[in-house]
Amino acid sequence: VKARPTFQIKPANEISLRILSAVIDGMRHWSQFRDKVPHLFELFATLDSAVTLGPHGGKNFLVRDGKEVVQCVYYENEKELPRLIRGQVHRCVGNYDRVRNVLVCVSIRPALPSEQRNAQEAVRVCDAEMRALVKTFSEV
Amino acid sequence: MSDAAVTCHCVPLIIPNTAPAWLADIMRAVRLRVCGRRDEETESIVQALYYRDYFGEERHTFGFTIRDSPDFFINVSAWGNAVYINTLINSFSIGDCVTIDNPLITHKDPEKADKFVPTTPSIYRLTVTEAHSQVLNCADIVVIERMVPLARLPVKDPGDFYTLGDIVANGQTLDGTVINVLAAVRSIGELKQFTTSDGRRGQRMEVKLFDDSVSFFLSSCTWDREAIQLAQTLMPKETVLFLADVKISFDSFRNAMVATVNGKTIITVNPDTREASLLFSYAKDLSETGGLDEEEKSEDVPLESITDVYTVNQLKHKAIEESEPFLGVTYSFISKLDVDSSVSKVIRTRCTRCKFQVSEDGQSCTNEMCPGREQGFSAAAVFDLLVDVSDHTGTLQGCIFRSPVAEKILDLTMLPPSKMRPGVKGVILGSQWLIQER
Repeated sequence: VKARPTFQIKPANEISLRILSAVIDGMRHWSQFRDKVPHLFELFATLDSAVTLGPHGGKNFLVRDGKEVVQCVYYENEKELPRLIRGQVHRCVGNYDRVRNVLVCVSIRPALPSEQRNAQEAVRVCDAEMRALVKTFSEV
Repeated sequence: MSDAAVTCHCVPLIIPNTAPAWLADIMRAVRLRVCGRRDEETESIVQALYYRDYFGEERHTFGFTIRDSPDFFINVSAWGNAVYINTLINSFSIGDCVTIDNPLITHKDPEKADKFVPTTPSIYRLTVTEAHSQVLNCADIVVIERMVPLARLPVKDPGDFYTLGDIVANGQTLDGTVINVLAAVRSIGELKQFTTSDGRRGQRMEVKLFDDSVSFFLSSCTWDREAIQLAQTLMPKETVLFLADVKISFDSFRNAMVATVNGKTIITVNPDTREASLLFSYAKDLSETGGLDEEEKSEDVPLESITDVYTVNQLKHKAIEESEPFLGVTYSFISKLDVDSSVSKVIRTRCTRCKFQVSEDGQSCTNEMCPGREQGFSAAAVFDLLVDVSDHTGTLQGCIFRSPVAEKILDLTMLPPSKMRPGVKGVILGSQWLIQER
């Protein structure tokens, strides 16, 4: 993937979509900056419920990491929700709705062993990046 | 390098009067020009260099080459403790005019001679030690003015060089030979640190060269801190180099001939010769007409050689700072697939030989450089998508995402033209919707 060299923006003040690897707690925390930093989350968490059918064709389930649990919803369109196995670690990418306390997933599948190995490090890096960014907000 | 160690065995203690007194006197009076210098202090060659003398102290060495006339130049090696040698290294650089007071003059070792140092016409070499000699920057304007033009004279016959075309044409028959090269600088690579299989550390830098016969030729500097420092100051597309005694070898990784600068090489920047000035004008013209940028794009780099990892934010910074295209790896998410635009923007027809874009119903390739122009025309429809990629530091917009990588990642194959459009359109639009669902 090659960047266009004509691409000229000021990175320091630039606001563009970020995709953050996070734990559930971290996701809740960072989502308060939604208005300032557009973002999606990538979670590695264990499926902790059956998949049930909700309103508007949404598929509902819970995922857990440690003691934290979050409700998830996935709307099937062209892609059906694959069969998820309760108790396994899954990779969920989506948008966290603070008001409803729901992670609206755009993608969910079993986590690869390599992803699980790297997950902690990815979360650590994302947290550091966000902490530094949030600090710049409070300075202004 | 091992030359230095051997020398030291022969002369463990420096005694100033082993050379005829009259010779030492003359040397004392002459101001000499540094025209090349070897730095033997790099960590990489430490083992070969550190030498314990009778007092159990580590001794360091550093070599350079000086010249005071178009025809004569001589190698100098300085010996001493770490502080003395480091001070000396930092006190002057290539191209400076220096005075050497009272060096020890010795015959070259007949066996080792100039094996790891530049070949000089002199039968002597000089040794500088803290106790007996001094190297001073020359402050005499008259002398400096006389010496400065020497820096732009090649140390070899200015007509005795290979063009890059010669090297390519000779191919592997030149593997391992040491020759002179005259070429223009196309681009300067980045400094790379590496560790050899036996644990020694070194640094390497690559410089791309070109001339009127070859538009792209790789030259690498290895080990030599001084050569790397010099290379870093060169202006791409505006510099001509005379590389005296550069080693030519076959690089099996790149499957091409490569020139390597080593301890024997003396580099003359923008030499004052007719051939160099012709090449300089050629390079300037080519650079101004954009001839060099065109070819840069078609160059194919092995994927394994791309190892620099960037976050999206780092990529953005670098794209602004750097005028040259660069390669790197980013771990990020595709956050936008642009398939809202018309099919003609998602799928393009390209020549199968040179990948040049052609019109859908075109009868021939419009690229004049296409290697297969005579062999009949064949074109294929390929993905040509615009995507955004995101990570925790931000989003890079408008990245080009093409076949065959796009086909592999999307797990979609291009169908024959009649069936292609509906099939592709339906499936990718689905992906787009998927992202927007956020």
